Amino acid sequence: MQNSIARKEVILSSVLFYVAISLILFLFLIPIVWIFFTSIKSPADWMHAPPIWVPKSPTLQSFKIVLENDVKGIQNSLIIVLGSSIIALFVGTIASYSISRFHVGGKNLPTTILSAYFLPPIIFAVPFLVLYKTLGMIDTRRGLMLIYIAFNLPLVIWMIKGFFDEIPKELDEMSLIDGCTWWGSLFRIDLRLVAPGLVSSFLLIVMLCWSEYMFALVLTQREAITIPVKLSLYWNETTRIQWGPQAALSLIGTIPLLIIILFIQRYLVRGLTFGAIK
Amino acid sequence: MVIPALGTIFGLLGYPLLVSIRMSFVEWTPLLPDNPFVGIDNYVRVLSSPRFWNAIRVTFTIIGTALPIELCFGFAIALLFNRKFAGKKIYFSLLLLPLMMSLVVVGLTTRMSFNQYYGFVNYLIEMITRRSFSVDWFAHETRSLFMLIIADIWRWTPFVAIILLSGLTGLPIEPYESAQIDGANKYKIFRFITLPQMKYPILVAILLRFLELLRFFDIGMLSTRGGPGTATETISIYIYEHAFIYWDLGFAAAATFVLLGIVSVVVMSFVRILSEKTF
Repeated sequence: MQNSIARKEVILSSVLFYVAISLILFLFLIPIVWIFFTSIKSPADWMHAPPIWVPKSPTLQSFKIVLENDVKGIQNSLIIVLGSSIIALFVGTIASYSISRFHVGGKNLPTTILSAYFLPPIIFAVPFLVLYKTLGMIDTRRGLMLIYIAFNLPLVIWMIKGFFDEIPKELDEMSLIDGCTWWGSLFRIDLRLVAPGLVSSFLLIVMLCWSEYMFALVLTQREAITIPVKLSLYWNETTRIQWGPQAALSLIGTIPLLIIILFIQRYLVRGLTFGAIK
Repeated sequence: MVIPALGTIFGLLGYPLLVSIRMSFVEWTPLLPDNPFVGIDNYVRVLSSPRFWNAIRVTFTIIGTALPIELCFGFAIALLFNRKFAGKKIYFSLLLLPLMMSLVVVGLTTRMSFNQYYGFVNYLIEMITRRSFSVDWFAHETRSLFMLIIADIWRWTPFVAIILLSGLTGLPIEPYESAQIDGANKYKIFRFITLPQMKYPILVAILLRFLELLRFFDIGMLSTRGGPGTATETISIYIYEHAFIYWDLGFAAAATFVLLGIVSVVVMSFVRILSEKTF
């Protein structure tokens, strides 16, 4: 008797548990599901009262419209984000190696570097606009890339320094004894050991840059426009509201992030909290 | 070896900052031919502008409402997830999805979803309450603020949940075992064992969310754009409007530094609290 009551309690609490979790998940997934279905709706279904969830005749029309109008944005996003992330990774890794091994800048440098992160970006938006205007770099890809590199470097240095710190110095010293230079030691040994960290840092900064809005909004117009800004142009439409292509471009802009998250799930907490939590 | 990196950072970030400082003491609009030095005039104008204080009020209202809710909700989710169960990986990955939405997408989706007739929010509420609910979220001041808060909660609660969950999984088991032997109930266990040890992750989560909420821009810009009127105009939107719509650059630069002052105060208090905790 006792056992079956206890069993029933366990089953009930399990069921409640799964109900609770599923309900929570359901709440968080509703908007995403909505975006997905809206992107395959035909124009008549976009704005319908009451709202339609699953279209009866799905179509890829919205995606076609996006491919006609927004390709430049997609191209630019890819070039700008990937390019600046690679450069930031390269420069940042070398710098963080110095900081980790030689303690350049003493104890305070890493924290100072990280504090650049706490500033709201709007603080830099105004002076950058003025600066770029005089340099003629408005609406150029390299202009935006430069800013992204500058903002990514602190995070890259911080994260990769953490990875380098985990490698014992004895390893370097052994290779020095064997006749390597610091550079050689870096390339042959250390880089191989931190390689997974490099990959995850790279993916993290790509993730952060991909959706960057403020600087892209201020500094790009037509040539160097990125996906977030292109997306925001849909906001301005009042006569021909296009929810379908808007949802389609949203989806296109989100899928790379989804793929990335699959790879860096493990490093996510560390990257997002700047290593504050082990 | 450090020079290229440091040079880029400090040069690229430091120099504009200096330019901005100079700008804030100058009356600068591209529409006028020269930039007369006006001392602290810009700062005075900023601090005496009711619209500025409205922006501060809006920003802190959002922070004060969204942060506690995200914290509680995120903690609850973290507690639920802090055990082995079938399908945990899948559930967890799905929970991360809102985090993958860029804020621009969140803003646009908010605009779609909260539409009075065609959005699904009103529709769902009608389904649940079985009463007609056709509310215009955008034309009403409090409601539009509420809408933004809901959007922020939706977008960031998983973030808080992840941080707290990683804190929870790092907690030692022994205190729990001895508490169970001593016969403590769940509430006491939570209050006297779990909570004290989670102080650090909680503070980190609060700090990160606070800083992010202070610069609330993308979601607001892409849904209400500060409207109706200035009811949802946060500090960042306020500065943006003055810099790039009114082109009152000196004024905007001054407002920027006032914001910087606020951020510094916040960060310094947190650093002080955090360093005290380690003792």
